[in-house]
Order: sequence, then structure tokens, then C-alpha cells
Amino acid sequence: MTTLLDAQVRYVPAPALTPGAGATPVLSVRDLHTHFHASRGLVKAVDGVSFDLMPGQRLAIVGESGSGKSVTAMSLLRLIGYPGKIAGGQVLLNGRDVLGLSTNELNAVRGREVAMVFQDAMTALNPVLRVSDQITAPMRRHLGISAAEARRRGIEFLRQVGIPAPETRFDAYPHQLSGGMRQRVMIAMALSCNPKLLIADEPTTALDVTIQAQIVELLKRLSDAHGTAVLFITHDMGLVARFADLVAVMYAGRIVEIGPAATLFENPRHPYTQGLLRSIPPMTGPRPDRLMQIEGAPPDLAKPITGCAFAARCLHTVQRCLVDRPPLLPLSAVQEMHAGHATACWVQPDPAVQPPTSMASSGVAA
Amino acid sequence: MIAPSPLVAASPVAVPPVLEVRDLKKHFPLRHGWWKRGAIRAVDGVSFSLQPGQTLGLVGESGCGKTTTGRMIARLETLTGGEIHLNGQDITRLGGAPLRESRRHIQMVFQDPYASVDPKMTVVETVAEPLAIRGLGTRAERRERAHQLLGLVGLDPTFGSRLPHQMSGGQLQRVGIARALALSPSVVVCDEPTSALDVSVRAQVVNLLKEIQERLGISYVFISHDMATVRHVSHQVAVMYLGRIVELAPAEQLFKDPQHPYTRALVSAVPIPNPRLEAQRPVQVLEGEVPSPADPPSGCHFHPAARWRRTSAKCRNPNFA
Repeated sequence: MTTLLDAQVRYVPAPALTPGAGATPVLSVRDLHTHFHASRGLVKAVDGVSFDLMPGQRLAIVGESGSGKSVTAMSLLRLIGYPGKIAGGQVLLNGRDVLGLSTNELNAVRGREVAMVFQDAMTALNPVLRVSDQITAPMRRHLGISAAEARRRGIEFLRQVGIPAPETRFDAYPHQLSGGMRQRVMIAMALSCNPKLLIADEPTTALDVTIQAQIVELLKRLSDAHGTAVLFITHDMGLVARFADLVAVMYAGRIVEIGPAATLFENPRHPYTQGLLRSIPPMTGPRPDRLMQIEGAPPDLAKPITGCAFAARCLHTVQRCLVDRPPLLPLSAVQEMHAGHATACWVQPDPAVQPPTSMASSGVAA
Repeated sequence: MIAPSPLVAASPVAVPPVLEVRDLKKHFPLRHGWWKRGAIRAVDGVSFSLQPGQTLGLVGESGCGKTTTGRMIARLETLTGGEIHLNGQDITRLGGAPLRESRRHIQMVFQDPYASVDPKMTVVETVAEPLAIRGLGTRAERRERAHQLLGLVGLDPTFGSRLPHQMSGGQLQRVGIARALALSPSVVVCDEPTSALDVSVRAQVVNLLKEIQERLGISYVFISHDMATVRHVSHQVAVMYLGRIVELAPAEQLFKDPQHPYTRALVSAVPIPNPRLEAQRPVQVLEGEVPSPADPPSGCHFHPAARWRRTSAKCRNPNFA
């Protein structure tokens, strides 16, 4: 069911974005649709998502709960269970469409070419298996190495991710480790087969800020050292700034803005991105009297969306926003400056201009 | 012992504090086998005071004792030691009717809005419940007051008949705030009130709490691990580490010029949403993890080489001043 609009939404990153021009992307997602058949109707959780990820690049997908960021990540490895279904699109991993693979072929990809780190290490790790069993299993399966060799490498990986005394921790059970350590074990597991792509779904959300800083530094270091591309899912704009080369902002199942981190933070062109950035209290300088807030709540994805999904909460809505859903299009202004920066907005307000109603009341009765 | 209430001395205002906490302690007993006994020192000597209409931010990592401190102030947790003075009255050892009376003046807003309301009660019933428990007013009067409170927190009166599952997290957190305000308290303990909310909704709740404070002149103890939000809402900020306050200062000053090495590390660990600034900023990554409060290090809790490699004689027994 490809309509004209869907075709328009297709976003192909400008070649200037890629560091090694001419290199092929490790991951290329094209017009991905993932739907859930819920009792209240068909929920289009991912509704036409396209992006490219180059080797060694770090892409952050940001958005609030229900924006489709996690479902996008899960769809890449076909981890969508009933009542969900990948309804269309392509997930090209080194040119091969993951969505067309057989179960056996898929199992050869999972953990080998693409590995995943989940938010909650306690539920992602198997509580009745030792760390050693869980960390060596993928290496034994994918690399076909001996148990002794897997053990040696496993301990080495634990050392690399910064676990003190890895020999003694190696045979521990997950519950004997702290939250930060479990997250490190998961990262060690994920990297054990030297994947081309690491998907990290809110890997630090459950952790304290000092541990979070450790994990983010670790992921950065490892992705630099091994040239692993990372898809990082988060709702924390600060972490994005610290970690990512590229940022994709999702809203109501679609990417509403994508671009190199420096450009996107400097010159956000979608009102939702602008609102997200303005709603964060500053850590330095004078404190504003009030925070800029985004009124209302995200739309119900079980209901059909006409026009822009953000229009009801937007301060810049014009007539066209209500009837015509904006496609994700590259910024037309000075090309050099905006290479790879695209947004789905008819208005594209100037971020330097504070919206007049940003001081709207939070609803306290006078 | 720690000198009580450094805040009073620092404050030029001669107004008596609405809340004063002295040397608050909470030890959870622990058994390791037959004879060896110990205790988790969740809170180990916390003192501060809070002026009317002001906000004290309590920050720290999980397990530092900030939530336990908040719960003790609201008398939801028994005390191992210390004193709590509310409006000049010692409420530490109150029980029965006097305790219930004192609870009118100190209320709480919890982290998870869905878990902190009865799923079978409508919004109006939830907000009016504190009044009903104390038998204040008639049924009709309580309903009217509840509607008034809903207006105050920016909820349309039509929400009154809704059930919690029919509302979003942000809306339900407003209900939690309205319920906390029902008895016109002088202090509200907000325990991570925005942590369960989405980024775009967080600002709504933070703005609401500030507006309510300006209008009603109530005081907040604002507990959070979100440093930026704490900086935004607080007048004073206390940084907790392993059951103790390691630094207490006016909000802007604390973030601009943190004195304690732990505060410095904590502030530097918070990422700033600006890639250019982030690239220039040195991130001081603390090594290791927080030691167990069952076996805290001697002297300054932060000194052991595991997390901070500069030790000095001063660190053996720091006096909070």
C-alpha cells in the first residue's frame, strides 16, 4: 500500500553526510512500517521510517514513549511478536534485506552481525545462568571456537568493559552483580562476536548519572576502537549531544527531523525538536522563570492522523498543517551547511525566534 | 556533632523555618547469620531547614538516602534518631491524633502517578479523600473543593469523573498534586515527581509546581536525581551521598561552583544538550560504584580510593559546615 505520500516520505541522506564518501551503509532502512493489531484498532507504531547508518557512525533516535523508537529498533532484528507485524519496507543490512531472511539465516545475523543491548539488564540476562554461560554462548555458536577459547575471550571482554577482577566475576550469576555491572556484561556479550551494528535501547536509562557517564564513555570508546556502528535509543537530549554523530527525532511513528548532531542542535527546524530542546532546564547561566512546555499529549496512533501529527500541540500551525501531512524533506537553504539535515514541517520556524506563546500558562486558574 | 541548621545561619531572613530537621538517622537492621549483626545506614545524620515558600532540592544517586529522608519527614518511615520540627512543633515523637493533625501540614507527591492512586476511585474521589478521612465538610462541599483543586492544577472539571487508567501520566500526576494540596499543607515532599513522565510533559509539571508555590506560598522538599530539574526549581540544594549531606548551597551557586569533589563529579556527569559544549567539557568519570551503606567507609564517605583518588587528613572526619 504505497501511496504518493509514503513515497514522498522516503528520505535518502545526502552523500555529504557520510564520512567516507562512497562507502556503503552498514544499515539502510527504507520506508519501514510496523503495525500492532490492538483491540482498539490498528496502531501504526512505525509509519514509514527511513535512514542510513554508515560503518562506525553513531545514530541516536530520540522521542517520547509511544513515538515508535523502540519498535523501530526491534523491527530491525524482527523482534516484533504478536499482535505486532512488520507491515512493509526494507531493512538492508550490508545490502541484504533482513525482512526476507529465513529463520536460520536470521539466527546467523542476530548476535553476529547485529547485537542488541537492552534497557533492563536484569530482565534481559537469564537469571539462572552464570555470566560465563551467557557470554560464551554467542561466541561458541557464531565463531565456532572451543569452550576454553570462548572463556579466555569472555574474560578479556569483561576486562575491556571495565569490570574489576573479571576472572572472579566471570562465573557469577546476574543477581550477584550491580546494575552498572550487569549493563557492562550485556555490552560485553553484544560485542563478543564483533558485530557491525550495535543496537542499544535506552542502555543507561535505569542507571545513575555517574554510572551512565561510565557506560556512555565505554560505548564511545568501543565503537571507535572496533568501528562498530551504533543505533542508540534514548529520550535524553543531553546524552544524544554527548554520544551521537547523527540524530533522528521521532514523533507519532515517523522521523520528524534527522541530521548531524551539531547541525540539529544548533539549528533545529521542527517545532517538536525545538520544544524538546527548550523544555530542558539549563545547567548553567540564569534560570528561566518558566520552562517552555509542549502543551497537550501525543496523538492516539490507533486513530487516523490527517495532516501533521504534531499540529494540535504546535505553536506554528498553519492551515496546511491540518490537512496535509508533511514529508521528511532535506532543508532547502544553504546546502553545505545543512547537508543531511531533513525535517518534516511545512513551516520550519526559525529556532532563533522564541515563539510568542511560549509563556503560556500551565493551566493554573487565575 | 553536626551543628544544627546551617541554613538558618546563612539566611538573612529572620522568618522562622517552616521545617527543621536535625541529625536525622535511619538505620535498617541487617542480619548476617546467627550473631553478626549490622545495619544499613540509609540516612546517617541529615540536618537542614526550610523557609516558607522555598524549595530545598535533595539530589544524589540511588541508595543515597534521599527518598528515605523524604519519607521520614512525612513521618511515613520511623526514625532511628534525630528530630523533625514542623512550624516550630516537634513532630518526631507524635502518634495517634496529634500525628494525624500534623500530617495536614506535610503532604507527599510520589514518583509513579499510576501506583500512587486507587485505580477504582474517580479523580474527584481521589482528590477529596484526604478531606473525607478527616471528616471535613459535607460530601457536596468536599466535591466542590476537589473541583477547585482540579482547576488549580490545570485540569478541566470534566476530568472529575474519570478513572486513573483513562488519563495520561502527566494528567494523573496533576491529580496527585491536587490531592497533596487538599488539606492546604505548608510543606509538600515531592519524591521524583517528574521522573516517570515524558520529557515534553515534565516541563508542564515543573511549571505547575512552581506556579502553585508562587500562589500559595508553600514549601517543597524536592527529591530527584535529575540535576537540571533540581537546579531549576530549588532555592537551596543538598547533595546526598551514602546517607549524608555532603554539600548544601544556593542552587545556582552549587552548580556553578561546586565545592565537594562528589558534587563536582556529579555535575560534570550530567550531559548538556549541546554537542559543541559537550565536546569541550571534560567529563569527570567516577570510577567504581557507590560503596554499600551497610559498610560505609570511615571518615568521609567519599574518600576511598575506589571512587576518588585524592585523600587527605581532612577527609578522615569532615565536619559539614
